[in-house]
Amino acid sequence: MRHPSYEEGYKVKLCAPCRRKLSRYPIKKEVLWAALGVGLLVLLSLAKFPKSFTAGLNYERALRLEEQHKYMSAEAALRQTLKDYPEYMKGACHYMIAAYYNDHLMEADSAREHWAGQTFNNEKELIERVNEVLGGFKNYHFEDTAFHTVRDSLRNDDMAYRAALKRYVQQHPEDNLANYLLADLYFDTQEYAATDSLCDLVLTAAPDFQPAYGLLAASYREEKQYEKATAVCNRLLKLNAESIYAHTALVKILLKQKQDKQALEKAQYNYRLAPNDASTMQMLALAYHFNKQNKERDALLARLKQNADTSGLAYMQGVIAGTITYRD
Amino acid sequence: MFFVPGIIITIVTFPGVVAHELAHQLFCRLCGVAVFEVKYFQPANPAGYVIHEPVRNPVHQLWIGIGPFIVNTLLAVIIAFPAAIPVMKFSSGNALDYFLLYLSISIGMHAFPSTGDAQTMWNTLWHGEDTPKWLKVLTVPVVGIIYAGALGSFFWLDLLYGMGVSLGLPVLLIKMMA
Repeated sequence: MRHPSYEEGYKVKLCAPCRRKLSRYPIKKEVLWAALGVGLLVLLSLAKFPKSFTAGLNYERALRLEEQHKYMSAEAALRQTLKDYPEYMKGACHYMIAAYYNDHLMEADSAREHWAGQTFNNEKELIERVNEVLGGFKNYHFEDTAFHTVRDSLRNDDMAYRAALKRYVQQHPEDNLANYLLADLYFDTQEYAATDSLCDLVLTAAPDFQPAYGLLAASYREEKQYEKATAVCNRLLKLNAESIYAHTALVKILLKQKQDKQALEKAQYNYRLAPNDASTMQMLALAYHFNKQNKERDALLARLKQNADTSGLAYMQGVIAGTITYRD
Repeated sequence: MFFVPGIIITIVTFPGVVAHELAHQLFCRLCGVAVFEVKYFQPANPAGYVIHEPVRNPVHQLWIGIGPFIVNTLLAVIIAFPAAIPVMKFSSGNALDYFLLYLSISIGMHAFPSTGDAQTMWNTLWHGEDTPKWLKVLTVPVVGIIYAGALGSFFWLDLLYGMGVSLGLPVLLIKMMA
C-alpha cells in the first residue's frame, strides 16, 4: 500500500520535505571557503579591470585607425594605452609609427626608449614598418652632421645661412633636409619655381617626408595653381588621412579661392583632430574671420595668445586687422 | 602531440573537477532532485561524482547533465576576464593574474560533461518511457557532442576549450568592441 506522504511519480520514495532537504545537500565547508577565496581574488583583480579593458580597447581601436591611415586618432589612442602599459613594446612600435606620420618626431623618438634590451621575433611586418620609419628619420638630419652646427651658428644671419646652405646643397645634392630647407628659403623670397623643383626632388627621393608636401602645396597656392596645390594635399592625405599639414593647407587654399564656408568646415574638422595645435587654431580663427564669425574668432585668438607656439600669430593678426592682404 | 596520464591532468586541474560537481549539485537543487552523495574530488577515476535519485521530469536530467558546461564556462569567463587582458594583450600579468588564469583554464577544461554524465542522460532520456520525442531528438546530438568531446580530450580538446574560453574570448570581445 502506498504511503500517503510519498511524492508521486518518483522511483525513490520520499516525502516532499525529505526530497527538498536532500536536494539541498550541504556543500562542504572547505569548498565554500575556497569559492569565497576565489571570489575575493576575482574582486581584487576586477579593481584593475577598467584600466586594462580601456587600454585594450584603445589599442585595438588604434590598430584599426592605423590601417585606415588615421594616424592622429591612432596616436591619441596609443598614448592612452601606453600611459597604463608603458613597457608594452608592440604598443610603443605602433605609437612610433603613428607619431612619425603625424610628424611628431620627438614623440616618435621617445617610443624607442621602451625597446632597450627587448627582442621580439613574431612580428615581421611590424618590424619592417618600424625599420621604414627609422629609415625615414634620416631625412630630418643632414648627411654631414657638422652642418647642424653651421646652421645653429648662422641662425641670426639669414644671408650667410642662405649662402652656406646653397654651398652645402651643391656638395650634397641628395640631402633631403638641405634641399627642403633651401626650398623653404626660396618660398620666403617668393621664388616659387625653385621651391617647386626642390620639393619635387625631395618627394621623389623621400615620399614620406611630410613637410615637403606642405611647402609644395603652399608654393602652388601662391602661384594660384589651386588644383595642383589640392592634388599635393590629397597625396599627403593618402599617406595620413588626418594630416594636419594637409588639412591646414587645404583650408588656406579654400580661403584663397573664397570658398569660405567649405574652408570653415574643413578648419573645424582639422581643429577637432588637434585642438591644441597652434596651426589648427590659427586656421580656424582665420576661417571664422572670413565667415564673419567674429565672436568665435576672438575667443580662439585669446586662446592662441596663451599657447606656447605663437609663431604666425602676428601674421594672422595682420590679416584680421587688414594690414596684410591675404587674398585678392 | 604528447601523452600525459589523465590522472595527473585531473590532479593538476582539480579546481575544475570541484566546479564540475558543484554544477551538477546546483542543478539538482534547482530541479528539486534528491542528492545522496557528492564527491567533489578524489585522485581516482571518476575524479568526482554526484549521486542523485532518478528524475521524474526527463528535462531535469538534461539540465543536470549539461549543468557543468554552463556553470564551468561562465565561471571560467568571469574569473579569466580581468586577468586575461594584461597577460594576453600586454604581456604584463602579475602572479594573481596567472593564478586566476590557471583556475579559469582548469575550470574551463572540465566544462564538458563526462562520458558517465552522457551515459546517464542516454539511459534516462533515450530509453525513458516518459521522455517526449523532441527531447529524445535533442538528446542524440547532445550525447554525441559529449562523446566527441571525450574523444577530443585525447587531442587536448578540453585544454583548447579551457584556453579558448579563458584567454581567447576576452581578447576576441575586445577586438569586436573596438
